[in-house]
Amino acid sequence: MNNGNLEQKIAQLLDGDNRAFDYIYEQTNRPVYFAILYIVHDKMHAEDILQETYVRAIRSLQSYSPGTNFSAWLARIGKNLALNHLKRERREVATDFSTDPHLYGSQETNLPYIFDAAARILSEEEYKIIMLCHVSGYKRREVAQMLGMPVATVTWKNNEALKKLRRTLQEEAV
Amino acid sequence: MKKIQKLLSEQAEKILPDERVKENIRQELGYRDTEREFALANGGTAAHRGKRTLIAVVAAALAIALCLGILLPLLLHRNGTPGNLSGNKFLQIESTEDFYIYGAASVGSLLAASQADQASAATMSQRSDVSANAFSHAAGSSAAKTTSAKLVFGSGAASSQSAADNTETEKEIAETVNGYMALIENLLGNGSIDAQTTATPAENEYAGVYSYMTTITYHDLTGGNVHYILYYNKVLTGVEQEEDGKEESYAIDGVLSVGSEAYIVRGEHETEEESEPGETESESELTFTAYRRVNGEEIPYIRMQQEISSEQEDSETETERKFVYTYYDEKGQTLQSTTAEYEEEDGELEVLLTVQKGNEKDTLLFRRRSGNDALRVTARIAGRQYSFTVQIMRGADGKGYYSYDFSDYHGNFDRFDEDDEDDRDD
Repeated sequence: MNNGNLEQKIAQLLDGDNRAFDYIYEQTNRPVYFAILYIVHDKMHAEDILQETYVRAIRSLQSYSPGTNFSAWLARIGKNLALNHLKRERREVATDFSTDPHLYGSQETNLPYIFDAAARILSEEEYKIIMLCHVSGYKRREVAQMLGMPVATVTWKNNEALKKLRRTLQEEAV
Repeated sequence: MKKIQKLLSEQAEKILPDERVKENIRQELGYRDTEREFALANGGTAAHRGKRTLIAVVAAALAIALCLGILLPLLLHRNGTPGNLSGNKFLQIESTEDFYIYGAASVGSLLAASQADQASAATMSQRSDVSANAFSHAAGSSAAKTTSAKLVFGSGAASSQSAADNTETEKEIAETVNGYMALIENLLGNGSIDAQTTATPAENEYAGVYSYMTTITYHDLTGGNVHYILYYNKVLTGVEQEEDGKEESYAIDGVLSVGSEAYIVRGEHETEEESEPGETESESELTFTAYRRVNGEEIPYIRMQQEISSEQEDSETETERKFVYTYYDEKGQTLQSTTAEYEEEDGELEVLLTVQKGNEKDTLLFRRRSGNDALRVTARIAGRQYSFTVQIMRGADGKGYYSYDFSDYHGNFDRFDEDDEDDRDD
């Protein structure tokens, strides 16, 4: 991902050139999606919130400070919406559904076990790195750029996260 | 840790956001369909102006899929004789140059098949009786022009029967399999892929533009020689030394000459290596993309992506090789992707193709025993399993052709068992 190009497209979108949207979405949606999924643990809800995130962000694009990390700005909006979603769910279902959402009907789509385990045992950063590297197929260098951290940090966190996952899956004999 | 990575990547589809999310956002923001700009894999963008007919694109892709490979041997220069089977072409790839050469040979074969398909489509468009026999008629009419194409449907003693005498299912399966024969030609053909690289000669039209000229030659399944010429510049894009390893990137930029056509091609090769006590991990990825011009824009046409990753933990080394061929439509969006994997065992070469078209997945396993010109094919197409033989034959004129034998429907489908997945990795 080239941040210069992304900033250029954001400027175009601000100027009313709606064709820039596709590029912006393709370059940014994955880290935002995984930040949301880490909180809600549900694909369908995460997709809904992802949609709402982009709609809100683009409608208030003037509030983004050019040259700062656009993906991180989007992810902040997405995480706030995800947390609001959880609060709303809690009000509607008065129980601790976050540990066993399937028991209370608050989970719409069951994810494969490994993703649940990843969201449960990994930090948000580790989770995003694992998902971007191994699920979305980005190179570590690209992930480093997306998340605004050195490649060596991504590599280290990636390895640590994989080891944690392996240990957990072995212990739980999946 | 490779197994964890594999587990994650295999289940990616179940977790990644649906493409409809983007469309919903566009709709909610009130963006019109004409206001589109597609991100290209090479970092650029291509504006889409006006609506194109999706049906025409899909039909064209289907036509390519149906005819790919059948006419390939007809249009390629050939003068060789069948040689001995000499192994897994993936294992011959050892250097960056090998990557480029294989990429050019492989994508070149698909481009040649695509050219053949367009020629065939032009012939077929003049026909008014596009019936169930259209495919065999098309092959037949091409044979009349070139005196070398022949596709025989039927089985055993009835192998000389006309296509009309065979079941629709057999014809459909043969048509589908023919869609992948260009790749199989490339992967299971005799001998190695040879390449001669020189400086681009001063009298050449690309002299002064591209520094290198590589002539790539290999044998197809019928023993004929196939050759393409790659003109290119090679650029070292970076070497990064990290505390725990190094990362190198190369790129190539050039033109691939296939028959009378020249295609803009770009390639990128990245390697990543990292190590820590007792564990070394490396990843290597090549993308080789041929582009076509649509309304003055360069749009990806066919891309080969190769990923080779190896992990050494204590005394064990795990290596995984994947080759993914992706076709794009005129908007630069994916039409179909085919993953090719090799296996060599007891003198038998196997190529497993996994074809993804939208939500549909077909699997085709081709086996070729050393010294044998027949390919055993086991396939799962549209949810059903088939087993048959493709015989590589040579006519009196010396030209090669394929004959399909559906007499044996009792194939061994064990290869497709889920439990067998891990066996392919090593």
